[in-house]
Amino acid sequence: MTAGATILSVIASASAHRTSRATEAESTAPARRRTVFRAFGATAAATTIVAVDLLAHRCLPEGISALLPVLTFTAGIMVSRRLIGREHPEGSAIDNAKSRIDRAAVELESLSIGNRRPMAPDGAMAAEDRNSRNEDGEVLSFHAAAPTNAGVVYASEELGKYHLFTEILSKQMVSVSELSEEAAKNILKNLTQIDSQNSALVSFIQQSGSNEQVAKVVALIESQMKGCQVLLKRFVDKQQADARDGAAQRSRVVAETQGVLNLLENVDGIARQTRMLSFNVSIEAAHAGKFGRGFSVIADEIRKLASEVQELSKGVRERVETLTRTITKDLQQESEQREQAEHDAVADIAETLSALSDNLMTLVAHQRDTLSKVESENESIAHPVMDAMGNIQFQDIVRQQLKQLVCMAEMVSDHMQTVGAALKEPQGDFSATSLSQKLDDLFGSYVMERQCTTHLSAQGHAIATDAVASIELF
Amino acid sequence: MKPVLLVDDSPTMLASISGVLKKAGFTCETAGDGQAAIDKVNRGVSPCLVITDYHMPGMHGVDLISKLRRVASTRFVPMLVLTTDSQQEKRTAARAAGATGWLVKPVDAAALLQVIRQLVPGGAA
Repeated sequence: MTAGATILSVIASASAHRTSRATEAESTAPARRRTVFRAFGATAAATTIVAVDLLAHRCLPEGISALLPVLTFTAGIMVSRRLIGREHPEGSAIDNAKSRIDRAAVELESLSIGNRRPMAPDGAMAAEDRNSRNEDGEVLSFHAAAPTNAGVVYASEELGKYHLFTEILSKQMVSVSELSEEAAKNILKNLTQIDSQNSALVSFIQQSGSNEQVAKVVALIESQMKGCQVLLKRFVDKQQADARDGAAQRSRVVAETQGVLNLLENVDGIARQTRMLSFNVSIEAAHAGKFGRGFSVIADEIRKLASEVQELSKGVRERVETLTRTITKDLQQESEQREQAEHDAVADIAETLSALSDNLMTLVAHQRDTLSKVESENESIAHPVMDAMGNIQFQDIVRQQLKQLVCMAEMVSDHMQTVGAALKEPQGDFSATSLSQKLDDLFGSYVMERQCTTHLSAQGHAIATDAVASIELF
Repeated sequence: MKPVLLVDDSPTMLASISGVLKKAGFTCETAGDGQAAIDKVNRGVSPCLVITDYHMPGMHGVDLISKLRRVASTRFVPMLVLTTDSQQEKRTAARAAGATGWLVKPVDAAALLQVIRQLVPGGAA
């Protein structure tokens, strides 16, 4: 839509210029016609620059950027129709427009001649040209009768209304500028917020995972593990001491038991001697005959008691020997087994502590890797965020270009009003600066290289490639 | 650390450039026009660098540089013009007025920081 409108505008401009050139070729063509068509042509050219500039920067909605060229072209067509006073349905729209503009030129010429002086049959000026001209032959003022022709009046009125569109266009551009500024501010605000949150997160991770913090935690855990190992060693030492005490106690019990066995030996000896004594008493009782019978009975009883003592001693010995064996073998074996079990348990605990220490170191190393990765990722996020912040400068550039375009539109509007007002006057003053001159002034007012290249490109000129340095340190 | 004084009539530009500089570790003072910048300096703001726009209401950037060159605290401070204007005659005038450099918008953030670090060594990480 926008491209099409721009093309039509360019064609209208070319057509107007062509018509103007064609009429200039005729020595009898009045200057007023040339002036009017130059105005149309230059207006179309200026409009084209506005449209191309807007298109080049894509800074306006398509409808808005299309507005100016479409309006200009439509106004041209309408003016042509009124001037010609008839329709040309045949042919394409562009051919019609060209045809109407050409006819408008002829009509305008005949009108102006009709109003001011008679026209010769061959179209040449029949009377003296009373218009005042400058050195280049351009008309400065018309010496014309009152603009009684409806076409001229209409054209003048239509040109006078052009400023309404310009005002709308200006307000729309200001609105776009404000909108883009608001959007840029929001983008910056969001970027700053993202950056701030990212920095806070990284700072937290750095703080919680910093070397100092990790070193503190590791030192604390290592200290606690060392404490555990000390406790474990103390426990082992205590167990070994207890085992030694147990062995000593068992030795003492065995020694005491041996003493009991020795006592039992003595008891056995006494029992054996008692039996020998009872035998001797029995023998003496036999020698004493009937007087010794009582002693014989006593001797038997004593022998029985001695035998019972020997049996009792034997039972005690067996019990004591069993006890000794239990103490020296079973308890020792049980103690050794317990010690072995404890030793194994302690070894397991030591191994677990060692594995725990290894795991801790792995965890710390992993944490350091994670921290390093987070820092690296943060760095890779920080650069695009910073670039995006810097790229917001585009809004200021767009703002300035829109401001320039508003000035340009107002300049065209002012000129339209001047031309319209001059058309109304019997002796219209066309001494105001031409749009061609205004285009040159506009080019001189550019400060951006891009504006200059866009302007030249729209005018079909070659563009120099020797761009100035964007950064220059003196 | 001394701040960078940013002068521009566009709030967006001030926010954009100060955002970049703050992210790089600099502190910033901002002013919306030349007079506001001079007022800040007179109130005791002592910048390590001045970055100013050229086209501003009231006073353009090169005028501002001329005036700041006459203030003791900013006499030897590097001053950059950051503008959309790329006209050579204005660059020449800026150089004559005491500008340190001329940067045409838009300037890439990394390139801007490189220039600033060159002018203010040790200004920020």
